[in-house]
Amino acid sequence: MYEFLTGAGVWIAFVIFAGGLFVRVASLYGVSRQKDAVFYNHTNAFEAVKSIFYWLIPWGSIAARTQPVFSSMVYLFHVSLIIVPLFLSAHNVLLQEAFGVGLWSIPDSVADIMTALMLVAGVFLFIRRLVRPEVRILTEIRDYVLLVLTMLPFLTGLLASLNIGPYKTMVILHVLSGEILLILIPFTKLGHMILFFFTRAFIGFEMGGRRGARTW
Amino acid sequence: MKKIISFIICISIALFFINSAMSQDVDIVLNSEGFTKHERPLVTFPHLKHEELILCSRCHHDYDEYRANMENDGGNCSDCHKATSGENPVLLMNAFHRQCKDCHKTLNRRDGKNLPVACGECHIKK
Repeated sequence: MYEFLTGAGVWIAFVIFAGGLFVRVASLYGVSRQKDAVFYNHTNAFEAVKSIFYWLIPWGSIAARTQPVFSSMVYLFHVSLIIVPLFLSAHNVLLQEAFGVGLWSIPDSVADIMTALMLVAGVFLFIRRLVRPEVRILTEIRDYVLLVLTMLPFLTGLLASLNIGPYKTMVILHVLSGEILLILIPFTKLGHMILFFFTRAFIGFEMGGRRGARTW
Repeated sequence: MKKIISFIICISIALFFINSAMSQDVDIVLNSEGFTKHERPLVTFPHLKHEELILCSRCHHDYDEYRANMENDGGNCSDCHKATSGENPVLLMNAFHRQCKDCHKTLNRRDGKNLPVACGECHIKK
């Protein structure tokens, strides 16, 4: 099981992840080209990048500043979500063994702390969806499921790292849940890892560039 | 008769010590001087168990320029493999990892064994 998941499983997951994201972005772009034709004559790269930039930096947007606790949790969640898997020493050792090169690594203790903070933030976001009526009304079952699925590789990874519970089972669950998550990204709301940039770019040049509004 | 028995006992004791002097300890904590810092907990390696199963020169190899094992007494991994880039293209960490994992993976696949291959199965956090 471990051998399959860390061998062929990784390839299958990454091919579906990258291929699926490409197809999704390409097809959405095709639809947009037809239906939003009216917007494409005034695209503005500066306004697009400006809007993306202000929404990426912490508390860069008005919306983030009006809800500081929520936006801090969102920021904590996403920063750990991106940094820990990419720069975890164990992941990079496996990459290095497979391809001869890996990325830089952060210390394992830092990765453990970031993962724990990410899980705390994830639980906060889950509870927020339950208790805030304006968010609850927008939330479907799949939103809860996706949030839990996103946290699962991090939870099992942390437990494996701290050697809590049956180690081999934990590692297998970790790799399996990570691969399921990668496969789901192109077909669900998790596609916002790429689509976020298109949405913000559009808001930037349409609302900011053409209508002169503040877009961050 | 008593003399013969005491002689046998003495010889046995002597042989016991000779045997342990020639072979290594049962378990060895791998703490190579080639590394400056260990990110993960040190690995306790059951040396005796492996000694009984495979030739010494399989791990303590001594490759010539054509990668033929000369089966001389190879030394420690860090004699040739360096932590950062050196003359030997196989880095020290990879040398250790491949030495264990390549063999374990093959045995797991071929013989359906359950030998350690995942990080924390050898680097055990206590």
